[in-house]
Amino acid sequence: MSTLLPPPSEIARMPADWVEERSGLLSIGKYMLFRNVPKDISWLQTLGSALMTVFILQATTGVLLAMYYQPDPNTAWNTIAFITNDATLGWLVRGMHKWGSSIMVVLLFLHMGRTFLFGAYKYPREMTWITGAIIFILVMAMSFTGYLLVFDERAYWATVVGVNINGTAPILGPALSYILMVGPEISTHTLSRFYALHMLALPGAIGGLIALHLWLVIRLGVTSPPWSRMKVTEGDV
Amino acid sequence: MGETGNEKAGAASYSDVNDPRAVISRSKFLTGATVGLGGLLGVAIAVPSIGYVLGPAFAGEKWYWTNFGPADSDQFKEGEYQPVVFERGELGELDRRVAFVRRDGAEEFTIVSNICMHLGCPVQFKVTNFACPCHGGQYDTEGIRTAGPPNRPLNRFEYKVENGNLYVGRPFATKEVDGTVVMTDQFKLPGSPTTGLLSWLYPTP
Repeated sequence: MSTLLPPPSEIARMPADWVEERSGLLSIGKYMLFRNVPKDISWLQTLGSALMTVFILQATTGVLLAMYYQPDPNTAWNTIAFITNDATLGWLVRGMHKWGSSIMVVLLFLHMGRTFLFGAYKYPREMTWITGAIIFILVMAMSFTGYLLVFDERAYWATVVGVNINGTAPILGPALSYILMVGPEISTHTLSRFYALHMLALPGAIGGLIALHLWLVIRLGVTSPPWSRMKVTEGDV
Repeated sequence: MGETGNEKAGAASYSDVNDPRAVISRSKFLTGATVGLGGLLGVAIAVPSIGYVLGPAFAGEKWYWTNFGPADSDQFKEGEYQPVVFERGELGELDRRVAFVRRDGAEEFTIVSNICMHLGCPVQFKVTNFACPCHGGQYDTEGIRTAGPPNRPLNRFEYKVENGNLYVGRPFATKEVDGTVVMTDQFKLPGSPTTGLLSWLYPTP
């Protein structure tokens, strides 16, 4: 009987083999994670992964916050207060989301700075830079829309000022402000519009762009620093 | 297809991709149809969606007449601004506004909005001037800018006196003409100039 059974190591591998045979997901994962990179890369090349980690954290804590938050002018702040003071570990979830947003912007600047100073945006990586730049703009939009949701005095007046700064653009500025506020003044629609953008449209777009950005990184590989003494071999760019 | 006589007549076969004479191959047609129909469906969904997003933004705000009480009340004094906090709508705190009311005659008033014309912060009245805490905008007692970044005088509310009561309506943009404040017939966002060439670059939606 026992001779009919495959060895235990093979049994342990069976679920993974089952998935791999049907989807090829494991080899895709291996292809993505076990790439060759230049010998002289450093911690500076980990800023992108750090950013993605923060994005995942923001998405997760955002989902948790949305479980109690109500985007209604009369109750928004009360639900925030409930999350902070009453919900179990709510202060931690909200704190992580709040500080995570700042950390994301800081990391974004560092990541962009590293890419710029290393010249890593050059051929053939222009598209990686462009998708990154769009992600940067969308993260700014995330910060702006998220700021209002707390709906305390600071959130309200900061949004008033932000919308009016946007309105100082000639020709289209006032119209864009009307679109942002859904009318000439901040109203109940403004809050739900910002909420919809903040939790659905913008993170969806950022997620998709991160996937594209990552694919380009995987396809094109990582650059050596400008001071690298490694030899360029045939086929490398 | 051969039996139909098309080949004899030299007409192209629509189904044969390898036929160089093919006007359009089956796969090309299907690709075109998919892209075309898909695009049409996309437009059919996108256009109403854009209208849905933009429409309410330009539908205009609902404005209200708010009763400020008897027009002959002692609280409105000549040559002195009285701040009145009022809620003009159903949104509670979100609809709270502040007007500075000054009596100019028995039924004549100057009613100044507290929204700074730089970027919309609330201004305060300090004896001889209006001052904004955000970026230092300063206005004189008529609401004309004296210092700081604002580019036009403070908005003023329209008002009416009915049955002896003072009613305050919507705020209008003002412009400075020869040192006096003239109310325009438009609401304008803070930051939009009302005089000169620049006013043309900031059309009210």
